[in-house]
Amino acid sequence: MSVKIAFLSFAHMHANGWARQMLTMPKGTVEFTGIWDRDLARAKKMAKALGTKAFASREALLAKKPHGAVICSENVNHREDALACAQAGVGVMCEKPLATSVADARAMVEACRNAGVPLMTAFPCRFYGPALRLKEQIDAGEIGEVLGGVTTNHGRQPGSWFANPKLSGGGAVTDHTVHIVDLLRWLMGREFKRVYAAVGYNRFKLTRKAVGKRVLDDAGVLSLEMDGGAVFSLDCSWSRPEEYSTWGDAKVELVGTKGVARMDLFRQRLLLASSGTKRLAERCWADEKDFGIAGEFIRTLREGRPPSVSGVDGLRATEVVEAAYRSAQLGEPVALPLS
Amino acid sequence: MAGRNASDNLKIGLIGAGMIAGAHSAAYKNIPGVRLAAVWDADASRAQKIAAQHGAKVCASREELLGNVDVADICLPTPFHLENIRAAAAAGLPVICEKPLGRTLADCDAAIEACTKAKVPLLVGHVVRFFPEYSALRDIIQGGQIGEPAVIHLRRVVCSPGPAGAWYWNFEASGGCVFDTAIHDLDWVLWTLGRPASVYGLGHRDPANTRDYALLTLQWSSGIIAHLQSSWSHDGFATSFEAAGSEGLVEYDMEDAVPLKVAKIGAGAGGGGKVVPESPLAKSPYQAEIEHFIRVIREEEKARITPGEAREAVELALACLEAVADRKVVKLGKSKGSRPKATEKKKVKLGAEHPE
Repeated sequence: MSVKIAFLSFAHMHANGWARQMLTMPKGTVEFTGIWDRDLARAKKMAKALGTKAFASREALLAKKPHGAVICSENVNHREDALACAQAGVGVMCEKPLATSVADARAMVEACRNAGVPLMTAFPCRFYGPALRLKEQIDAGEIGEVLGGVTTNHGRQPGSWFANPKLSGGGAVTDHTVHIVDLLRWLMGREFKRVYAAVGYNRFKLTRKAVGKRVLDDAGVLSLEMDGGAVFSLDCSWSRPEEYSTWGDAKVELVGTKGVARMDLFRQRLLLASSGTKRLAERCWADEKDFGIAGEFIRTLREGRPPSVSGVDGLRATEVVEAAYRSAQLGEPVALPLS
Repeated sequence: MAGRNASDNLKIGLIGAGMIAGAHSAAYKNIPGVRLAAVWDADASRAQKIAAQHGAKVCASREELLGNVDVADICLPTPFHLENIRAAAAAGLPVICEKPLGRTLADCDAAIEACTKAKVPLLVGHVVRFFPEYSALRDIIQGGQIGEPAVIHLRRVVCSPGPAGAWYWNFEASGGCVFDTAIHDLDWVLWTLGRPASVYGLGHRDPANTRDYALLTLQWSSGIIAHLQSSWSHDGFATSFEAAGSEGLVEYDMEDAVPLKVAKIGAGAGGGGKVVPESPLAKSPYQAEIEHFIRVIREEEKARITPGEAREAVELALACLEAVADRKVVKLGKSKGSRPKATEKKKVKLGAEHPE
């Protein structure tokens, strides 16, 4: 039996990557039900590219009873789209961040739980080889007890709706906190208990160009304390200029009682300079295990089991983001869970 | 004391013959008209070792040493800096002192007062200013090449400096990894960006198991954020930095900046090769630092590190320790005016204030 997949929006182009991955899965694994998008023209364009149908109404698409839907709408629309899926009995894989507030994330988790449909948060980093090997080595005690570490998820200001907080919910702190927070929770098997955030606004040229008169956070260094006492920092800044060799990074340095691990998740790369690239450009050749997060979504739906990366994982990461903004406003650390 | 010039033979007295003393004495050897004349250390065998290398005299007491040299170079654990600075100043000798100047501001103030009163230079070894990569980073930022600086990372990690019970692991005496490694980066940020408005920090300290670790976040009222990783919990020494600004980015990792690697076939474990990496410089940063100190003592140039600046690095390190200990934001008031105006001058327009 093929797993039937619907796509709710291509506002975030990760949907395209996952759709392409699904197309490479063995024949008969996945069947596309169709695409709905608040931008109908984009739905039509993507439907043509992916060999499926565009729908003018989300409810009409969900009424076709797909097994699951991939939500890649603008961040603030995640909640509405997920709730529609829950109501239609359709499983959800939602692009990160799961939501732009803890309240929204909680509503999504509850709606899916009540409807008995799986809710996944798209945290693909967990499926890359270096992350899987790091987890194996931590679990095997190779670096002893982890005391703390320094992490970064740098990026380049992505433009379009990302620069509009009414659609994105926020800037770099919203966009680039959650991957690493999820990785650390997964690697350590513990929750964060306190957050301090140093946040900068309109610090980088690309942001200034993109936001016009708006103010948007584009620099952030978070200090994170975990249950059990480990201490971490996370730089989520959109600090890569256009001239840099790549979009950004995901790096984790962990200091343990018996060793130190330094992971640069996308370091499997070539460096290319050409008249086409105009600069030294990285070409990453890292791969994802078992079709990554997209594969996990398909297996979850086919096997009728809970996903390994859940809505609650998305909720916990959203909580750290909200705490970070609150901390930046107060100029003080903020305790979790948020009251 | 009266100014000395290059034709004088300058006799250096080394007080303390520990690790850093080796780097200092090697530097003196390369400077014409300067020679390591005397060494004193509570551990006579250590003093003997360095003295033998340089044909210097081993002194039985500090007083004997001070009576036989022109300059005192203090390479002792931090808690012993003040009494030795006082003794050297009282003897009218210019003082070179390893960083940090002191463990407390009271010690720093007393040391500065003693040298001011005796009218002798007090030269503190914030050697990172003489590392070409760090001065280049400063030039890039101050020259506006990355626009307005936004987020700066400075990483300085090392393995445990000694077994449990070594003086380093007496936190009240040493100040831990923040006073040992971060102090260099704190001096660099003060030198480059001026005084931050606040400090926040997290850390892990376990002297019984020889682990100390600190993550420090500094914020300036202009919006600049600096993040420092300081560690005595790593596998070896490593530094790296990155500065991102409105118009650009600059990054450095010591592990990537290795222009020469020579591998000896068969010298490694299991018959494999053993690689010896090198980053040779015509003049080591320690050499450059000590030569500068000698020129200051000879009154050929002004001190590039003032005692007030060394004190301010300690002040900032203390704020970091307070932030880490109490898990709170420590706000820094105005400096006590010891920082010379020149270093506060900014060629770079600073960023927008926080919108609130």
